[in-house]
Amino acid sequence: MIKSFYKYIIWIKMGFLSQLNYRGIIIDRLLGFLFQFVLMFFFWKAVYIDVSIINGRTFEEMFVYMLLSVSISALYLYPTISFISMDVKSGNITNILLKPIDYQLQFLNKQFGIALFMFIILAPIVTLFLIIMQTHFVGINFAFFFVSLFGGFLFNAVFNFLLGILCFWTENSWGIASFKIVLVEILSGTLIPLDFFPVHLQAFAIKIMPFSKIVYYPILILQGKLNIKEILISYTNAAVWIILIIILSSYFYINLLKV
Amino acid sequence: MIKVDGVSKIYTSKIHKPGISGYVKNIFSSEYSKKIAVDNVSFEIEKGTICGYVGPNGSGKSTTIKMLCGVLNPDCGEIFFNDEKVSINNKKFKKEIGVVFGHRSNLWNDLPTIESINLFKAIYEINETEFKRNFEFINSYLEISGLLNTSVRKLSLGQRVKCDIAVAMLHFPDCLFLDEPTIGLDSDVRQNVIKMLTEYNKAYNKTIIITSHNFYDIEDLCKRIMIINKGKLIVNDDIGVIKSKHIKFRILSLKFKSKEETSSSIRYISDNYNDLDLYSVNDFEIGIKFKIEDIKLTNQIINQFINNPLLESFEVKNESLESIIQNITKGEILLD
Repeated sequence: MIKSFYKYIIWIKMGFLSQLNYRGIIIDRLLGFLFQFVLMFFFWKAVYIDVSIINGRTFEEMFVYMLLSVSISALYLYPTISFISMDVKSGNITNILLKPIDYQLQFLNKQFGIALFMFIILAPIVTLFLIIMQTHFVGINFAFFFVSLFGGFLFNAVFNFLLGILCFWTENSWGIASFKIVLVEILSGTLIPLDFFPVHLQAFAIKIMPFSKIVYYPILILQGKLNIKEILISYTNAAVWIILIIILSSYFYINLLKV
Repeated sequence: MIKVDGVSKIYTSKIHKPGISGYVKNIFSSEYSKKIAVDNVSFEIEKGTICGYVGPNGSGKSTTIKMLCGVLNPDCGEIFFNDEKVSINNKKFKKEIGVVFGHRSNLWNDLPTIESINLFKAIYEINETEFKRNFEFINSYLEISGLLNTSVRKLSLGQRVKCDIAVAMLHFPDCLFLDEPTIGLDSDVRQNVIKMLTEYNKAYNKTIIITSHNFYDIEDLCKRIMIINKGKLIVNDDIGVIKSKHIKFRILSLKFKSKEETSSSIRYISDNYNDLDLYSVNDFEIGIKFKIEDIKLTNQIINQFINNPLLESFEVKNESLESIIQNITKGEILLD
């Protein structure tokens, strides 16, 4: 039992080590984070130049939102879709399929290792900024935040798997990967908080679509802007989408194996 | 035991029309061609057999291997491993096999080799005692312990192939599929791989199925070979039987002490024996190809040169297995 569990856990280690192995990856990912953060900082500074509150947010609150949104999205920036596509096209997927493990679980664990690496790098930086900003969060919200963050990670990972598998038929991952980045950046709340959207779009982007559970909801939960009922609804929404995507990707994966 | 029953595989591929107009047309309409990669192949392999699967490029060897290990599904026919139908979804089956694709690595390219070994140890749920025994056995032949802390991408091709063979065998699978496993290996390492596989088969009664373009691998390792050509299995027999049944030529090589004597001998043989297939190996050595039934003629030539003081040595060899198989696949040998 422990061994069966360990054969998946080791993929977390492999994903983590694949990032830790190169100094270049650490620098590259840190610089990417910093550039995006600085860009967003000046953007919002310009927006707040003549006003002190927008959509109920002060500049300080927006700064915290921006810091957290850039950090959370940095966890998922790794181009995993292209890697599945490359494996499919080169035939290396053969080696993966021949192992007595579940490909999707293996993929999820590897992605978790990659995200965990970035989390460990960014957590001290974000904590430092929050201390400087004298930001206070309620303890229980941390617990809800991490559950929400994990839900967002799971959704992102299974979505990547689905798109990666679809590349087998599209023969090219570039278009799909670019589409996914734009979709997630806009609909997750990475670029701007989703409550800045027009009202009729808000219900769709926030409540129905799953992408809001990647960035927008975890931040709102941490900032204490949601009550327990809203938090539980967001968890349920994320869980339903994760299950739907798993069913869909399993369907395509089974078809891929039939080839 | 492996049982393959009437298996076929057809590949469909898009026909790419040439020229810019062809590329534009390809966007709007696609034509596909069908190619039979494996055509109604049936055979059985008993447990503990080492079997060579050979044939020219594109004959269907790798496709068959991929179907045997479940990666590809046959379009018709069935494959059984220990009486169970082969399937990529069968984890028990996948634990019982090990696969090496010589041209495709199973190792984690960016990390030290030890990480890939630890990964395989975890995936195949190998306990410490088994791991120690298996690794010691493999390492005693392949000597990979010195490579464990080196990044896979920094290994030479030969070192990488050795490590690939090692991870595929780490769980001591019941059946080992080897597709071109000796690519990039020098002759010493190749010999060690052959010795290891022979011992693995003998000591643990394991089945090995190997495809290789290096016929020395096949000859040194296998008792039985299957020859596939254009997707059809044309020969499935004991290697000794194939050799004795299909051998057509014998080669006499004559080695001289001087270049001049080599040249004059070539002239002499050409002038007196028009029908002989004569070729120069190098400045000091010539080869003469005789039909297997021409024993008299072979002896006659040997007798003419044996007393020549400038003859350093001579050797009569049977036609190589490679040549026999080439003759079979080219259709120069009529099969029963």
